[in-house]
Amino acid sequence: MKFKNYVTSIDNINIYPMISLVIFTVFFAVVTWYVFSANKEKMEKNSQIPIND
Amino acid sequence: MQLEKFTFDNSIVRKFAFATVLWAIVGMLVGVIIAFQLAYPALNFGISFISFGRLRPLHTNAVIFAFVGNGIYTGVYYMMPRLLRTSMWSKALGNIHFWGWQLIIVAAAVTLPLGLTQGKEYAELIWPIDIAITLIWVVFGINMFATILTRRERHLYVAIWFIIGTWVTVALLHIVNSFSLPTSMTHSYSWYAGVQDALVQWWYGHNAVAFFLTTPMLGIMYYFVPKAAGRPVYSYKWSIIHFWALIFIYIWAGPHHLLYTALPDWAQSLGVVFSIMLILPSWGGMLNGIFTLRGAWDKVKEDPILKMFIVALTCYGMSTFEGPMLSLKNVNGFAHYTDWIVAHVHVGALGWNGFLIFGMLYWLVPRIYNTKLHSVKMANTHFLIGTVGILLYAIPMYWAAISQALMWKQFTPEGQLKFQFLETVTRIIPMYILRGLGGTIYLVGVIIMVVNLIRTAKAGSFVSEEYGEAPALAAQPLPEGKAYWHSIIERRPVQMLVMSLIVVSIGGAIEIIPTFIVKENVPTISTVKPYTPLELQGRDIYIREGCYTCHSQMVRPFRDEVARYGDYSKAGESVYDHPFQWGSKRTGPDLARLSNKYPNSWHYRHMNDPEEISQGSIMPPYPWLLDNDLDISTTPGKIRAMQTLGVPYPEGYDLKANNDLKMQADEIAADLNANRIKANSGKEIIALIAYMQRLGADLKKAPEVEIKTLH
Repeated sequence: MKFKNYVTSIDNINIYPMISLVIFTVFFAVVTWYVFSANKEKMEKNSQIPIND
Repeated sequence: MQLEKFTFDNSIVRKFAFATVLWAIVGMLVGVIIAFQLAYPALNFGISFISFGRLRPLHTNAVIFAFVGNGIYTGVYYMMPRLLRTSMWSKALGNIHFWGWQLIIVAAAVTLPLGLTQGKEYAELIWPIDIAITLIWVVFGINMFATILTRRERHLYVAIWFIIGTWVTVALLHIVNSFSLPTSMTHSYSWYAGVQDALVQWWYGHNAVAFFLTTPMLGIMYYFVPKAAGRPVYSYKWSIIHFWALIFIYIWAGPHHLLYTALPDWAQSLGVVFSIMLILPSWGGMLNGIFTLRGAWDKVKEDPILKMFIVALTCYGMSTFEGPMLSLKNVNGFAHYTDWIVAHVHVGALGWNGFLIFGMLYWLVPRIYNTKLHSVKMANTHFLIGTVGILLYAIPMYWAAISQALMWKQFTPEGQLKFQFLETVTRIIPMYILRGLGGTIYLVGVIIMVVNLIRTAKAGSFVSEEYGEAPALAAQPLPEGKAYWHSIIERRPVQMLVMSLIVVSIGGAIEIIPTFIVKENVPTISTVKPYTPLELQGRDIYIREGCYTCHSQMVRPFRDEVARYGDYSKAGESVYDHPFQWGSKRTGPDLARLSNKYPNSWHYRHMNDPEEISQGSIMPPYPWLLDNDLDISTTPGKIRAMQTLGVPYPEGYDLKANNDLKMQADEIAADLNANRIKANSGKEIIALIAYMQRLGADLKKAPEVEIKTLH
């Protein structure tokens, strides 16, 4: 018997990769949305921090 | 606003920088030695302390935790107070961190050649050292967070995020993977066994690369590349996405080290998918670094520091492209267990880690000595021969890998394997020699750097403290306008820490928890029984000698592997293996089906001198196993530990174990004597032979059939 068969005996095993994909996609989307809606001047200012120390 | 004055302590930076170059030379020198041992096995000299299996863990640990580790701390102690406009919180904690870490390294350098190991790659150090690492890491963390909390710059620059992410994840990885049950001050058994141990180990191993060799390096990159180029990072927006996407995705990708093994398929697939996704943040980060130098190419042509950074970023790009490619199952089926993986990690280690740290040192050392670099020409020479060294290392390894993998898989028209394993090794030895030369050249480059830096230091005068001033954080007005949720996190280190922990825990938990549930689902193969006491002792010798650095115990379900070794490996076989010994590289053949392949006398002679039995073998000789008495005083403790871990020895067996051990040893010795080998049953070799003759034996046994009486 292939290993796959006994793992599939765990209830709803396929939900694990699905949960992970959903969490990641949502998180990634939210971060991207934030980044592109963020204040440009502030970003410039923050990126100057190491130069001005 | 009233300005507050504070100091930047350069002496701790200098200490870490010194340790970085010292351990670079030691770690790389050991690397060069073991590279040549693979081409010329005589270089093992038949001495246990310097045999390949014991030096290889020393090399990997020294380069990762001593060289790169100290490099990270050098960067962190330099950039953190400057980015946060404050002093490091505690000089005393900084010094405890420094000396504690160096003591750990020295302890590793002593224990590993002695064969004191836990037998898990990059996590070999014995349990007391593991505890010391945890304590020192906590000291580092306290000092870092206290510094962040007393800062005068409201916004945490992205480099700091990477360091926070590193700190929290390395703590998690180290603690989870190091769980073990001690049997003595220097020995312990992994808490996990078989499939679970493999998954936890490679979740750790992969993320040691991710969170020790990558994220802190990216923190350093985001500070020192803009510094050296004199311009801000190309896109700060990218860097935010880079951070979250990278730490989120990286944590999942560990199972790609276990493709086609007995690991559950779904976990393998998860590892593949996330590995492919990793290209995006990795390349985003790499391009962000390279584009920072846009419009400064004239500078790049002349400045060895920028050249080093460009090569480092290029190597980062190469290895983060190659990594996902190697995670594709078809590519992995070909490349795994070969020198391809060795080439891959060295492009990362020599190119990305090495050159980034060298560039940082060339930039930083003249500044803390308030002078100019002694010789730009020497630095350019270092750059040049370092690059040649990387190429001369990597190209022969790719060549060796491809030709060996092709030979492994080749069949004659009659359907027989075309090449004996040994033939596939002897053919690539010229490549091993070239690789050794590549490593040597790279090391020469490092020595040139050391000379250059020492002369720089001598020419300048050390500035132990620099001064800065800024208004207190409380006195600074909050920025006007609406604050987004993320900009709030950016200002709050504790929330950043918690978020990072959540993000990496999700990946770890979803991957690992099911495999612990799987424990109940791994079918017990009825013929798989716990090791006999003698075999258990033999297994510990196998681990002590680092056999897993060259031999796998995992036959993948491929035609050539089944033809060469025997039936493919099942998950249920390794349920009593604390730790698992599946291995990751086949410099020698797989051993999962070794039992009864050769007589005891063959093993006895072969361990004493492999060349005598198989001509051209590059395996080191192990003559000390024939002389050393087996220490059986440890047997009861080991049996009890195994019982605690759930291995079903009968109750009270710890006291009877040594009787069984002696009986089995006498049988093997009698067999050897019958074959005209004068062997003493009390020697270590007997235990090792017992273990080797057990490998795969259970699967070859017919399952016990219940006999029903007919009425």
